[in-house]
Amino acid sequence: MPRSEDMAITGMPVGKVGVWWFLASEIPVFGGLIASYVVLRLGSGGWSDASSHLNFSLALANTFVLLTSSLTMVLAFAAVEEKKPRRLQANLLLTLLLGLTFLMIKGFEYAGEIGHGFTPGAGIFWSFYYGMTGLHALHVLGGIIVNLVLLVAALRDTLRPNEHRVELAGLYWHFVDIVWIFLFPLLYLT
Amino acid sequence: MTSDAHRPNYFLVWLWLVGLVFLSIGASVFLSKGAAILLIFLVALVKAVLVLLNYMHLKFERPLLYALIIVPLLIVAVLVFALFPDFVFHH
Repeated sequence: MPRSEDMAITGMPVGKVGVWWFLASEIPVFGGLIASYVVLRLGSGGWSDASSHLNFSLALANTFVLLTSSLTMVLAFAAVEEKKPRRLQANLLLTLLLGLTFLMIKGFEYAGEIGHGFTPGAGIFWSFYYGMTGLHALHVLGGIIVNLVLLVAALRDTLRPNEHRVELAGLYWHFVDIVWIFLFPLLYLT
Repeated sequence: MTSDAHRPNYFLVWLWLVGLVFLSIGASVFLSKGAAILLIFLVALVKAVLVLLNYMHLKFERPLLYALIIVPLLIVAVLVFALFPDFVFHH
């Protein structure tokens, strides 16, 4: 059984190739949703009116939260390379907290929209909105769980033989950030 | 993995990403709808490439990884072009 840090036939570590394959498989998932949203929106009217009911301020705040979490995640990776365990723990904790902040703000935003009657069944825009942001939020939750596992291992000082996993978790976290980079203008700016 | 000498300035990349968010917002406020949409999605593309190259270190990786990403992107592009006639040009 190959270990994730073993080299694959590509000359890259098996774990890294595996994560990139996984991310490549995620592109059609989000890409399919986004493509369907774009063509349906171009083919019919009324979408801008629906999107004007979204809470832009909260979405903007969440954009900064997620961008900053990408910075702390990559700083955690840098701390691994520099062999600075305290900095690794601090940046993993910050990434985790920023991920939780993103979900809390998103939950607050959902509550406001549902409170105004904009449920997933309120129209095709809202079905797409909840479908795309909900799937994205689930991915954020998945990243938080992975980062929590890494943080606990780092605090117990058991991460050392598997520190390369911070880089793998980072690849996933940055991908989730990229998805939001496209969702934000698609839903809130157009 | 990247060495210290090769590592990008992560904080500078973050500043660019934040600055580009403001550029998108400015475009949506000050430009006409068509120009704004074009600029907003160009900016989103630039931001995604910045994250891919610098935070995901794609610029230090082998070309094989680029191929791995391009194939699903092509699939999505085919999906868009296949759906266009039915949903956009049917009126």
